[in-house]
Amino acid sequence: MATGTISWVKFKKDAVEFIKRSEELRDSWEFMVLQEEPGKEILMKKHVYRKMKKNCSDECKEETITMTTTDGELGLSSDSDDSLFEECRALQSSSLSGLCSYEYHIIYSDSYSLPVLYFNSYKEDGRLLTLDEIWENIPCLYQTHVKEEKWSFVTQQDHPILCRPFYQLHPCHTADVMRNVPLDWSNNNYLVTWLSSVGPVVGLNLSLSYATLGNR
Amino acid sequence: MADDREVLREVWEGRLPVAFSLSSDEVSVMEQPEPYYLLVPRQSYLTLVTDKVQKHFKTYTDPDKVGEVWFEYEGQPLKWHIPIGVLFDLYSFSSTLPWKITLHFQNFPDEELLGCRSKEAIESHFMACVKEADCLKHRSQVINGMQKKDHKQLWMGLQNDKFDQFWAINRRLMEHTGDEPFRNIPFRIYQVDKSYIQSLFRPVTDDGEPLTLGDLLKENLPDIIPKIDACVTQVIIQGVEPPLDTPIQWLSEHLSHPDNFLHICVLHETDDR
Repeated sequence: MATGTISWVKFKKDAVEFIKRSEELRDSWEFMVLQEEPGKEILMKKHVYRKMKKNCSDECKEETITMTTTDGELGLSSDSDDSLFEECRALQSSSLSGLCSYEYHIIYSDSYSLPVLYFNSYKEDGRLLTLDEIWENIPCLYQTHVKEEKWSFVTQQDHPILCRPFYQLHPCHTADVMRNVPLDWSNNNYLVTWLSSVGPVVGLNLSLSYATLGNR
Repeated sequence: MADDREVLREVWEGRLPVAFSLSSDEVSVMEQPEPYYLLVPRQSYLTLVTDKVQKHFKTYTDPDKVGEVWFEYEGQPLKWHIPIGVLFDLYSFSSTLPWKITLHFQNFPDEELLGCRSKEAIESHFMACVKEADCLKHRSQVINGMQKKDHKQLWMGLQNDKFDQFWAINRRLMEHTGDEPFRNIPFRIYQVDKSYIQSLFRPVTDDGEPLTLGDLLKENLPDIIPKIDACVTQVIIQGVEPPLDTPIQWLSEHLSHPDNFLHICVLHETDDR
């Protein structure tokens, strides 16, 4: 294995741990297995609802509302958990206009020996966000990077399994980033480190509770 | 290094005659415009070589309804990001020429086709393929060792249909040192109405024996060989049926598309096209 990359076996092991923790946290990540081979299974998080960014000064007000339903509906499950109740209130209080639904998929690429993040985002009317809208919604912190290198940063690709358009965070720089992480991957969860580094770019914020994974 | 230069040139010069028509629902003038005939490079992309076609048909449609352009063959939306020659081999291999493609300006099927609002989308897709291919062949060492201007030259060579400009750079991506073949062969197998197949495939056995096209097909589609023998399945690369005992390393160096992938079409007699 080249430094910064991971094997499929390690990916699977970390993914299993990751899903287990997600279940404890009710964070709605799940496996979708098509075939038991590299690149044929998707680690997926069904939905996150995010408000569209109007401009950079609005960003501090931006809120991310995570739903724990898996059926993709706005309606909440019968859970009357407090945090869910709070989310529900947040949903009611914020005007629904400008809410987008994001669906994230993590797929192991055996070309790169790396996990790759794919996502799609729909507006309330069911329309897919355009690439320009996707770029606009990347947080200000990364906007300089977007301006300089947007075409090698996030673009649209055919989903390698579903074969329909998805946005992809390019894997080119992943190995470089991960090579510089001073952790021993035999004891640490690669997915958690990777996802907490790249996810925020496209609105995917990982709970800190994942940080103890593989570390226990 | 790819050494059969004549083959490379022959492949590069592959052309297809296409008759483009505007979708009849989208014609806003009294009579249906004549088809627009064009000889297009097999190696290129539909959205890269049809500026004139689009400009021509725009005058026959309602300008208020003009959205993103897309192409269709007998009801099948054509993915612009797959090279033109591969689309033809997959959907129309045995049909008569010119290839009849319908052009649309309305109702872009965004659940099926990647958006392509600018040439940059094509360039970005092309470079992403080249990078992935080099990661498979040389662990990205060649592509990362190149300068930005080299990447640009590859793209400009394809865009302007300049063989020498393109191959001056591409030969480095096709290099292998001494007897050392590529680490893996960048390939994709296409079949009608199925997801494409891509997997890791080394071009030699552990003992260093060269593997062939037949070996690659067997590994990815285990029951294919009897079907080829019975003539119910055809395997097409760059518009030809290469013998199954052709070494896969040679095919990768000579019959890959400019994106550095070997695009293999597997056609079944049962395909209704």
